[in-house]
Amino acid sequence: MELCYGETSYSFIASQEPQDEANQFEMEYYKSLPHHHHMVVPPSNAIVDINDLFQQQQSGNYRELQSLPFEILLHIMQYLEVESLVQVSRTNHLFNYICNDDELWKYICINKFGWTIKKSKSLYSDWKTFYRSFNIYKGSWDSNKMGKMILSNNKKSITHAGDYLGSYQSARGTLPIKSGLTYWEFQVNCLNANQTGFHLVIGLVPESFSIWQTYLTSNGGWGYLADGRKAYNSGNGVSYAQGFAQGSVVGVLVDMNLKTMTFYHNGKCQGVAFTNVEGTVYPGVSLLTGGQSISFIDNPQFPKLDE
Amino acid sequence: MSMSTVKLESSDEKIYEVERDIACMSVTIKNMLEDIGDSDAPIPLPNVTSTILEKVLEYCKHHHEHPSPQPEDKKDEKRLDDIPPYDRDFCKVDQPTLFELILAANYLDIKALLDVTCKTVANMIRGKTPEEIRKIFNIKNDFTPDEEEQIRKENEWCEDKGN
Repeated sequence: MELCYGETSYSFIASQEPQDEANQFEMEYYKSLPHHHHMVVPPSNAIVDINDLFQQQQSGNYRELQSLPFEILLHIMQYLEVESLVQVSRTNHLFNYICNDDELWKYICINKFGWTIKKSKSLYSDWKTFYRSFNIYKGSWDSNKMGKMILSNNKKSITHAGDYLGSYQSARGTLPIKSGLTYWEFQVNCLNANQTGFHLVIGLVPESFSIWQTYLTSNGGWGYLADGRKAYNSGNGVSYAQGFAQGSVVGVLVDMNLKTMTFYHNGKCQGVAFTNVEGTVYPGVSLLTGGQSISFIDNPQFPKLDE
Repeated sequence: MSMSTVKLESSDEKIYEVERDIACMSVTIKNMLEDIGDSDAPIPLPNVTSTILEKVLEYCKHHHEHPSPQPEDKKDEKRLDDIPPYDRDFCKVDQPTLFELILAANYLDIKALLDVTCKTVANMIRGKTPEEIRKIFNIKNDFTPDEEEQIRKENEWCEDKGN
């Protein structure tokens, strides 16, 4: 049987040798299969001897789920979403072992997040741990870390409080980003057509950022400007991507493993903007004029990272 | 000259004469036919009982006559809700039969049948608690209470993950 894990086809083999040696045909079939090679990472909680599990499994006559060959159980598990997989792993030792299979988690990661994540994987010992490093940002706007702004919608929305031009106000999210891959999306609620560039900046601020009545790229921040430029720790932007407008959805991906930051505009990847993201950072925004408004979108989907 | 029918022999020594194209939906049989060349001898399938072989042939016959309009595209997407009505009804069998069909599909290398039977099992698992899964599949809980608690804790991350 071939289980397709994307680029490579892994031919799994049954972990059992056929018991009925009189059955010549079956022997031939098993012999034709490659050697077992993929069970490399035992779960941390494997207290029992794995060989015992498979001996128990062999004694079955295939009338029960747990007596099916390992590679078939893996094939079944591939169809489960992670939440269900976790439930299965809690049923007994055998299923806990299967549900922690590294190739299974590799498949899940790549299927869900795309191929280019392989670059980021090197820092993790196994694919399940790597999967766990992918996070949707759960924070909101921090009412203690902002300029003259008004929060609404459970602190998910933020609006510039002034009614005059030319007064930058910035804000940051409540939760820090320190490791792994984090994604979130902003909705640009209000941005007039003649407001571009530094009028609205989306990005990241470092822990040290503390002057809220300025724009976020002025003091160590990383930003994507409404006219499509990008800027790091600077009042001068450089050409980066498509600009955004009122109604736009801007996705932000921070990969602390690769130290990169990538923006998405209405679902379309705009490419890596920065490769120097380090330390503890927070989502940030800068607004220039009264009424400008932006929101964190609830429960966005993690984007596929293939470009 | 290629023959239009081939003979298959089940483990309980029943012989079935089937259209070659239908038999060749099994990659295993297709390869065996290529290996033996023109021969009238029945192909032995010692891993498949007549009951299961009949079901498998019924499945292959149906799909031979009603080819699927979207062949193999998006095969990277593991979707559970895309089982066609015929296949869904086909998989409405008791668990031992379902597992034997899975084994037969695996052995005969009929990818569509393997996928749909495995999906059916996955659908039986989906959304259930560990205790419900144990009941459905007669899985013996061999964890100590401590181990059970440890694994529950290890998996807590999943609940507030949300991606």
